[in-house]
Amino acid sequence: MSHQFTPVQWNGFKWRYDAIVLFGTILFVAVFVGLTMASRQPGESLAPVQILIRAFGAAAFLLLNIILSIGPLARISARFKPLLYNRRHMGVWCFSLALTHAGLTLMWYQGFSALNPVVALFASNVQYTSIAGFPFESLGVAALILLAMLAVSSHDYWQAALGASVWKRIHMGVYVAYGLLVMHVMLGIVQEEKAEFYPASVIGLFCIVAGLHIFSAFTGRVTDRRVKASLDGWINIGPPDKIAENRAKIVRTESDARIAVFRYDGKISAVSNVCAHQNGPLGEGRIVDGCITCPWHGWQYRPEDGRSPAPFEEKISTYRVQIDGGMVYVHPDPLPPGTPTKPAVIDEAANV
Amino acid sequence: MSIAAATALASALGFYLLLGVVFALYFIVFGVGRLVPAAKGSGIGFRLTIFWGAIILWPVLLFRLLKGPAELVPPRTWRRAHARIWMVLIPLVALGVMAALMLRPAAPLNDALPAGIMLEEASS
Ligand code: FES
Repeated sequence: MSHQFTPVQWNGFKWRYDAIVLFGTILFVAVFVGLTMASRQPGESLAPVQILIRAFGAAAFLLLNIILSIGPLARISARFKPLLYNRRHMGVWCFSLALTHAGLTLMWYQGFSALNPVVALFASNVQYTSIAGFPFESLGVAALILLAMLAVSSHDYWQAALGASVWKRIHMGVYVAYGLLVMHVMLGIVQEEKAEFYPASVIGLFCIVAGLHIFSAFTGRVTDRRVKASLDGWINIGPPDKIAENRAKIVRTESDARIAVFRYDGKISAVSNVCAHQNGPLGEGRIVDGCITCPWHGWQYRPEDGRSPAPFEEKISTYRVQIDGGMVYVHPDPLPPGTPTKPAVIDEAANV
Repeated sequence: MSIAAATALASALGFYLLLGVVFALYFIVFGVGRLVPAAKGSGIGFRLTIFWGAIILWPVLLFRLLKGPAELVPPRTWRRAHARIWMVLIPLVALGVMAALMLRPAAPLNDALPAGIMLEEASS
């Protein structure tokens, strides 16, 4: 959390995570190069650097597909949540691979020109009205600029410096970059190569990623209907024993806010479901050492006042709760972030 | 794009990044803590991590330094924005992919020669 900024807050999990991503990339590039060389027909020429350009491009594209799949997968099944934890390192790595691909491309295809390589890149092909000869490099450049903006602003500091809303909008650019890259491949290598492997894998990956996003949005909606408050304004969320110990039930209010109602130590407290770090779903986390612990990167908040334990200073909204007639009620109006609220005591209620 | 237009674009890009470097040098020394007080007194490693972002995002940071830090708004999920983006992205990409497949040449294009050489050959 943010009491002291460091370049990376390393821990064992992050080291293992990054090592797997690095090893996976090396393996992928090696297999790609090996298979490309083995499948060359006699007479077909492809310089080693061209094979490397394709290998790094393919690795970056595949990694971007994996990155974009993690969010919906984690919403569909909790087993994928650990992958969310260090996704931003994967994003920076994806950008590095794309940059290597771009650097090699510029050197190989434009480095021999008398012109500045960047000028040569933009001036060498102007067939913007052709599909087969489209200057697909321009799409790659646009995507690379977007990925660069995401990579350089991935540190927590940027969220605080730019404001959560601007930061999130910049990071939504990943979808634009993805669309540009799909077309970069479809108008680039797919037009150059007869092998059906290229279009088949791009279309297959896009269908998987888009399908996962649609599926998770759809299933999320089914389990996440808005709950109406009763006449006196409180929302009935059922008996306390319907909430597992140290876990939460998430309710969505009519004004579209999500509230996480936690049960712990014979008490009930309610806070906003949205983590102050990167909007992670707090209600899908659990109570660890007396604190609500976000499932994404482990930020913690006390259930009674929505404040992070010292020395941290983050705050989230809290909600009033009560137990009446064996039912838990939460009031849908949020209290200012960090406002202490009295937890509802389960045993007391049972004696009513 | 003509060579003159490409040169202008590359120069504009270079100028933007040059201004970014100058701004970033100021920002990592003085600006980091002005925007986020918690970052005051942070180490050189952190400041170097921020350096690259300041080069690219310098107009937003300059705006923030002049106007004051961003307002604190309650965090929210972006599910609806995600859904809207996919509703636009899927048909657009599907159209582009279909066009790319339908107009794909039967024979492979020649990419054996670097484009720079082709450019020079074409212009000679
Ligand atoms: S979103 Fe990162 S810890 Fe909650």
